[in-house]
Amino acid sequence: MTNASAAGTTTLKPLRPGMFVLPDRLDAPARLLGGRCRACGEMFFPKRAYCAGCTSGDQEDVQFGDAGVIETFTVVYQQPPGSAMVPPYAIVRVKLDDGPNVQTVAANCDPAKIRIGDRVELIVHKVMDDAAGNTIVSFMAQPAKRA
Amino acid sequence: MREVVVLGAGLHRFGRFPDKSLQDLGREAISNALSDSGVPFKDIEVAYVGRVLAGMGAGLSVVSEMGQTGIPVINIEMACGSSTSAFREAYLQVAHGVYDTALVVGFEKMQRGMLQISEQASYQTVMGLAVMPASYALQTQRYMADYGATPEMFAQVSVKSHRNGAMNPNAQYQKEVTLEEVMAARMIADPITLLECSPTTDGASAVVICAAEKAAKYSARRSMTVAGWATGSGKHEPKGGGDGDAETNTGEVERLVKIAYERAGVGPKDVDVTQVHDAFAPGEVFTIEGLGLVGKGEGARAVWDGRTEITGDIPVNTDGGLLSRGHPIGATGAAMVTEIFRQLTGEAGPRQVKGGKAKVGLLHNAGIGGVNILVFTN
Repeated sequence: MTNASAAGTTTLKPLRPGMFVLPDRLDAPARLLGGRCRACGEMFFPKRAYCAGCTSGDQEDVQFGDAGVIETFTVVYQQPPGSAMVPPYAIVRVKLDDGPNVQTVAANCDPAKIRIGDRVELIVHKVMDDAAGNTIVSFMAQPAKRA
Repeated sequence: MREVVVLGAGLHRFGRFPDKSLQDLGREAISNALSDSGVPFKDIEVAYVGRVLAGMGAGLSVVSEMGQTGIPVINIEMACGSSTSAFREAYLQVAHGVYDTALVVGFEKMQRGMLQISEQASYQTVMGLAVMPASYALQTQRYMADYGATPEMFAQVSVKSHRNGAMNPNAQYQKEVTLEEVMAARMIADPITLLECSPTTDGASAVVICAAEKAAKYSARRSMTVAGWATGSGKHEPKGGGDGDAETNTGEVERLVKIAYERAGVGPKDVDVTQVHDAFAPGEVFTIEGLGLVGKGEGARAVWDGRTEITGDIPVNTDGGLLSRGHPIGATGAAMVTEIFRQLTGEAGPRQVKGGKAKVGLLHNAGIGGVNILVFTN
């Protein structure tokens, strides 16, 4: 981690723009930028131009809250090609309290202790450093600190 | 629509053949299928080719090895379901009277290691989320929590598949494994171990189909009828069900198999032998439920109790499946058709189910591009 990002300056760069509100420090709550279909109410992350269910193009932008529950999970032990993750790491499918299911990796916890039904919160966590010294971040799930 | 029959099928053995070209693999599979069918290549009116990783125009470069007769050669890509898509397109053309004969071909040469299934720079790839065994593992963990199944029950799929593969001279792996060996193998995505993952494979497969009314002119010893089909791409499941892709979407299998059963005029109780897409061992458990062969939540127990063995009441993947026969992605679908053909014509030898009296064969081939269901009768 660079001193700049540890100090919470603007060297955080999203892995992909437009996925979440970029905070000014690492491990801050992640507010995902998704979509809601005005025609049928279905919610999506990432957002879509047309509803996957009813095909309507009438979509509105939505910010989802960071709280959810683990629907299912697995721990990956083999390095997948092209990935910055170092095994073993956990993939979790999280049902957001006010949004759809999202899939991400678990952070700040022991992957072996993850269980279906655990409460989690989404945070903006470091993925890797890029060549220019920026901290590349994305949304990840950590055990909920709030009750 | 006209009745369409399969007259012959053939493979190049599945395995690793670094010294052989795609043309070498394809030529042998096509030649075996043609001689099995009694149809000479000069009578083939169109070829549909399932392939994924080869470069542009690969279908023609392989099919033309058999002769340059000027027929259309159509390349089809639907990931791991490519050559059942090729089969369906060929079938529909013959059924609608456009052609009387058609050749279906699948081939692939693959590198070792995990497939990269998403674009190189996608956030899913970088975050380690685009991992095929993990897609199955996520579903498996949920299944174990919902139904009380154990990792051993899923591992038993691999034990059964390897036992069948040991009786298949065309399989990549022809060696039995024990439950202890499957459980002790290197963990890939919990609870899926290395021996519960299909390998990467080189291989080729070919099938010859013909309008039933034209089949008499060939010296075919036997045939099976294409009785039903259905294809889909993973219908959106509302309220958060949309995470699973088409390959692991059991709801999509349920939706499609109803269509295929209706077209064929059969139901799950009529099925004598089944091929399912077990890219990873849990695939067999989920799919036999999706196909209605067992009830929801009963699949793992059915495997554990031996019901999907060759000697069981719902034999599945009698040739070793993807786990043991191997999974050269473009060639897998037509190899599934080949095994159903052997079973329904009573030519499956030591792998034969139901004393050679099998009447209805069911096939499920899926990829990240969609799902194909086929029903055959004899």
